[in-house]
Amino acid sequence: MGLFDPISTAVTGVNVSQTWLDTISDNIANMNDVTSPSQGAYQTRFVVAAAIPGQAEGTGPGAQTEASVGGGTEVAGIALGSPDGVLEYDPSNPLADKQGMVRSANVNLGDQMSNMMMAQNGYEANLATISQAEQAYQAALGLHV
Amino acid sequence: MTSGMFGDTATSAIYQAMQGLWDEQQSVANNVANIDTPNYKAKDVNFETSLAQAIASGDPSQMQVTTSESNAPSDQAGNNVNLGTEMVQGETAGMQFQTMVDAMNAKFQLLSTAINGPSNAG
Repeated sequence: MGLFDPISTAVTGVNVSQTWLDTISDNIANMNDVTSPSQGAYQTRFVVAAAIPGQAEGTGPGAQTEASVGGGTEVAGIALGSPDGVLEYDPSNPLADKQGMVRSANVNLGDQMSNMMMAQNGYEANLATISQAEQAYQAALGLHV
Repeated sequence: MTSGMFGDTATSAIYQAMQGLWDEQQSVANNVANIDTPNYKAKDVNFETSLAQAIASGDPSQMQVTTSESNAPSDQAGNNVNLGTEMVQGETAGMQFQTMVDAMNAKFQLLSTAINGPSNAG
């Protein structure tokens, strides 16, 4: 058992929330992207989170527990949405084809906003865990004769 | 750790309880970290029953820490971590840990009194 395990576990959660927030801001920043219809539109980014299995050290009953408690979470990858986008009529756009169509990104702002709230709550919840663990460490530091 | 001045049953029981509470804190941190992980099931740490049995048998170091998966209902992503439950569990484990530290300090105080006499115990 590492000394600061609960804190480093909570940090993995903070990191995933941070990546999620980064991804959301990337999506929102690109929501007005326009390309010509012959090219793919901006693909909405999705964070794929996965649990990290615990690392058992040693062979005692404590090692088993550590393996089954788990070691936090990680970003397993970034999934991409459809490149189809939305075809829009905008003949004045220099990227428009002969029919006057352009392909614009199809980012759902409602989804992004609700995801942002979930990511923010996750971030704060992990910080709350850190301060709880910190209180326990402070208590342990109070052990003396 | 079964005998000797520093290895009596009470000290050993407090030590084991601190180990169990620490695992509980680790479990809370892991559950909260996975609050948005699809198909993740919250884990509970159990050691109290085993510790009670170990104390009754006279050797608290026989305590076994086990984990079980919560069977709370899952959301649409297959995740069943409940943030409220986790926060309460983390806070409870923290306060129990503090209590164990106080108990351990009280044991040390008794030893200090035995070694130095009451005038220096202070």
